[in-house]
Amino acid sequence: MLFAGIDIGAATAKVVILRDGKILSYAIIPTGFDVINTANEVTRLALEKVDHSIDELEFVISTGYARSAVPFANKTLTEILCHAKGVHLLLPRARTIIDIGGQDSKVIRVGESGNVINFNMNDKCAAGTGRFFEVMAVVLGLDISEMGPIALKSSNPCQISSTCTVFAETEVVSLRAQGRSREDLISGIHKAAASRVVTMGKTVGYEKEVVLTGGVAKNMGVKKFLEDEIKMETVIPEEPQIMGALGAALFAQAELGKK
Amino acid sequence: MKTMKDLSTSLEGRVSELRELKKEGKKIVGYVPGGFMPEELVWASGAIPVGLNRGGDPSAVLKSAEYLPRFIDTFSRSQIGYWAMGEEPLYQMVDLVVVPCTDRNIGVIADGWEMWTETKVFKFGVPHNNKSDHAFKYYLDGLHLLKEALEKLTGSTITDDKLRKEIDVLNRMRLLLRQISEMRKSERPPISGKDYIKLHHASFRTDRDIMVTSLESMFQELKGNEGRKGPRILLIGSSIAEGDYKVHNILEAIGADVVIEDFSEGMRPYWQEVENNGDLVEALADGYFRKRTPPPAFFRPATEERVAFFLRLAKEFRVDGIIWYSMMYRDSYDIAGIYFRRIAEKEGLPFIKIMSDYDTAETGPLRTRIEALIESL
Amino acid sequence: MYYDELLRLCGFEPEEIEEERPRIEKAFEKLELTPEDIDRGEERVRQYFDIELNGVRKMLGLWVKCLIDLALAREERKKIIYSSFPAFTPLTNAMAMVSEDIFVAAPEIILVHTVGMIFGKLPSLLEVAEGDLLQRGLANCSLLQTMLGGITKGVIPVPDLIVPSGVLCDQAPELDELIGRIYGVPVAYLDSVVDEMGENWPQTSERRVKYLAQETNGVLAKFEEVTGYTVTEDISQEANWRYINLLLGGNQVLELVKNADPAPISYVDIGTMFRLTRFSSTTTIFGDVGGMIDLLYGELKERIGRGEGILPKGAPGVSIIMSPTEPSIVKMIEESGLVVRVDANATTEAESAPSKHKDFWERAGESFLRKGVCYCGLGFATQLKQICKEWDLDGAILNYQLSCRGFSIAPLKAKELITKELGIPVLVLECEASDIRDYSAEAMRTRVETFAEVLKAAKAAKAK
Repeated sequence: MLFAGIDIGAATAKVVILRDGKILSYAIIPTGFDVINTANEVTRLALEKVDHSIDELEFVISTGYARSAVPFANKTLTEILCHAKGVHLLLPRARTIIDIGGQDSKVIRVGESGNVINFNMNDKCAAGTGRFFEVMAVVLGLDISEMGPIALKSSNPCQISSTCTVFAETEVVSLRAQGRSREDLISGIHKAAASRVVTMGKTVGYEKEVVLTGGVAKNMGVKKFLEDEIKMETVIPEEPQIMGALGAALFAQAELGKK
Repeated sequence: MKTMKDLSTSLEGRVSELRELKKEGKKIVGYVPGGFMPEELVWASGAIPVGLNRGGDPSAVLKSAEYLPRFIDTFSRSQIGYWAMGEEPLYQMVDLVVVPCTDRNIGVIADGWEMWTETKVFKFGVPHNNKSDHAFKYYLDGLHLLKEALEKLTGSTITDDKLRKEIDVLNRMRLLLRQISEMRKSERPPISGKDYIKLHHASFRTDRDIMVTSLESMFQELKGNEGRKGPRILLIGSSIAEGDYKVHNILEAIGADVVIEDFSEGMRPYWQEVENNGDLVEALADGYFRKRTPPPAFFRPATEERVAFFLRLAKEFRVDGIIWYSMMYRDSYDIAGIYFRRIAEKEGLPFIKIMSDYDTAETGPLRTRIEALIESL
Repeated sequence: MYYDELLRLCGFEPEEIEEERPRIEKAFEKLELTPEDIDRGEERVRQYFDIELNGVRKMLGLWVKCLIDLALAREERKKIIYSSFPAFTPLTNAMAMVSEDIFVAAPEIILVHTVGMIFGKLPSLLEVAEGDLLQRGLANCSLLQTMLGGITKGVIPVPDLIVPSGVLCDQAPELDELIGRIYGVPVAYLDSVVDEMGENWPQTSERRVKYLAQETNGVLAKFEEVTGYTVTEDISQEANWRYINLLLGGNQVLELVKNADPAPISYVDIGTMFRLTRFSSTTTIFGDVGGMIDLLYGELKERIGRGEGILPKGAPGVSIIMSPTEPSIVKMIEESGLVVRVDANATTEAESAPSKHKDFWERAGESFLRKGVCYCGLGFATQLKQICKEWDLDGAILNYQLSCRGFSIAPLKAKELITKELGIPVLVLECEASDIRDYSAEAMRTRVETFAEVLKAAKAAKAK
């Protein structure tokens, strides 16, 4: 029997196909303007790899900000629950998840069974999200994948205080005008974003093991500054972007057990 | 200026001095300086008052997010931020914090200390209307409660003799601050806006006797001195914190300067003295509240008086333009600013309203706006 | 007419519509309510309110009547008095009691519940107040902004006297003063000081109570000067009795649904009823809601008897701090499977200690100042915890009102107290009760749905 979890985020759409509790296939594509189309496309892609089709899916759970727009989902769940579930399968000792997605970031405290105990989510603000790094990369004329490695090169990160992406952009422009080095700037950007996320999660608390998920988890600069802020090591799952989709697929599989 | 240098040297050593005094058993009383808490009472009790008045630092604002909502007045949020960062020694060494609760934003400082720290808090309620007898009574009763709290803290009695001596010293301080301020009426003010406000900030931390001596010699030093001639600004608003000198810096860089200011937090009211006879606690209530110039709260029953005071300052100090500088989310000043703009425009006084969140990104746009104001004069 | 159906949904009788038609049309024209607005209103009333219940319809109708009276007050009454949120209700009631000539209202409360809640077009008023008056993004109070918009746009009259209270906030007195200055209206300011220590809650300091009472007498003197009417103690007592009766009626409804499982009615309806009786402070409904509460009580009792509910039996119960005027927010919480049982306006047992004060205004003032939100951050946090305890809830949604300093200081501390001492999950939620331009129900959905799952799991674990 096949189960699918589909996570339609602000920046990317992810799908995980599960068989017998194991990941059979997965796919990641950018979220297009047409969400329904994106959902169909990403699911078809993952299934094609293993020669299956959508109508073979036993149960589908959608998650992510556009979860309600997936036409073939049997149920929807929030990505917070799904992230906790997905991470728990791969890293059962995880107690805190820092998820930095395209449009929002979350700090999630999980219990021994992968259940959510407490969480917080950023409010109204792109600072400390994938979007923030995208904007900054454009301002600095870099590819987003170059940002993390450069951030690690500075020993004197600039102070960037803005709580707002728009203002932070102005700030970066003016710091650049003051002649600060590219390394210091980029490092400062990472430090600011990490600090924003950590502060947001303070009311939730950080407990070992801390796992990073979401697209931004792939950025080593963010990892370093997050660790500096919380004074703990962090772990990154092999494919940090698909944790939500994996969790959703696990929930889908559990649904059948209920019946 | 020699005195200024001496003063800042003495300030640098103040923290370790306070540490020593604390070891000897002296109590340190922190307070939010807005001119509603008579330091006379604290000195007379044998404790040492220190103003908690840091500001201008974005990291304190960010830190406060763990304790307070983001849309509370920036100065108030910062106060809790400084405590939480643990880097400002004064915020860590106080035995009691007195917060004159003048509005719901400054009240947050009291609430923040109460909710999140182990430090004792005294909430000193200040009515917004100083015209009624019952408001006076409320304030006076508050002083008596504060007196009791201080006596309990230090274990010593505040006698009339001690109080009289302290009132004399602080009257002298107020008078000197006024005389130095008034020197700025001249075409070439002998002291810069930034140095002048720093005098106030120093006075919240330095021993009162040393401060008075410094002010005496500064007064002599300034006599006959001439500073720069340039566009003259009235800086008015909610809080001017220690460390928040960006408006001054921008003005100085383009040859303009603040020649007179009016702030609710971060300044010591110096336009009136305290009578030193009769019932001394009542005399303090009279000087700090009933006869306070300017009266408490910008708006509300004080509107007429505040407007008159504002125009008087503008005229006497021959200002060319007005910068209304209030903290982000200090709602009452935001609204009062709408009205004061209208008044200023009617009087033909150029006016800009600036709101600060102590964010480094503000500086660019701020400079542009201030430069545009100065160019238009 | 095009609006008859909406009015019928709002409990108007056909004869009543005929009789009131000229006033209705005049008021709607003044308020610039178009046929499209009426259609939207109809749709929203059907979508968000329990219009199967006649009590709910009547309640909506009372809001519409408040609106009509407010819009026509200049033509119909001799003097208009505004007292913005949170009005000191015993005082506004006493002023309303004096004469039919005088119209007393908290205009912004009426506007957000009608132009906003029913017609869904609050931005039309909010936007008018922006620009050279209030700036967007500075956390201004949406209630006050609505009032300023209403006056600026001319849809509600300029009053003859404004009575702002400084108990909860600074924005109300400051903005009222600004309106007073712009329009030349006298302002009788009801001052208060917020300096209580949280450990003393709900004991209110005597000097604070006395100060409010003295301020109240000052306001009444100004009222007499402006209107020529004297508010005697007898009038105040009588007004207060009527008000207390209203509150008791409301409390009975709350008591009835407190433990009903399944929950018989949405908190959208209950909350809206509460706000009508407590906050509208309007001559229209003052002391008399025409049997609406009894009607609602009877209908709910029947429904409970039939075992009907809006959610499955055993759904987790939560408190909220304030029930937003915009109904889609509470609806979204309920859609996630949570029953909203109570909000912070409920009176806890802890607060019901008898008063030591003799003077009428001191007694009235004391119960007003005791409310956590008028007390201090820690006091409010303690009250929020007390509510969870007394209502035996499964969790709490501490939705603080964006821009409201008084309401927003406590939630983080309350979260700590509730989780530590009661061991139930808490969600702190930044919210806007009426201006949903940036805070729609959708923007909060992920948080609330996750929280609902956490609660359900916690409840299931407890049951085991």
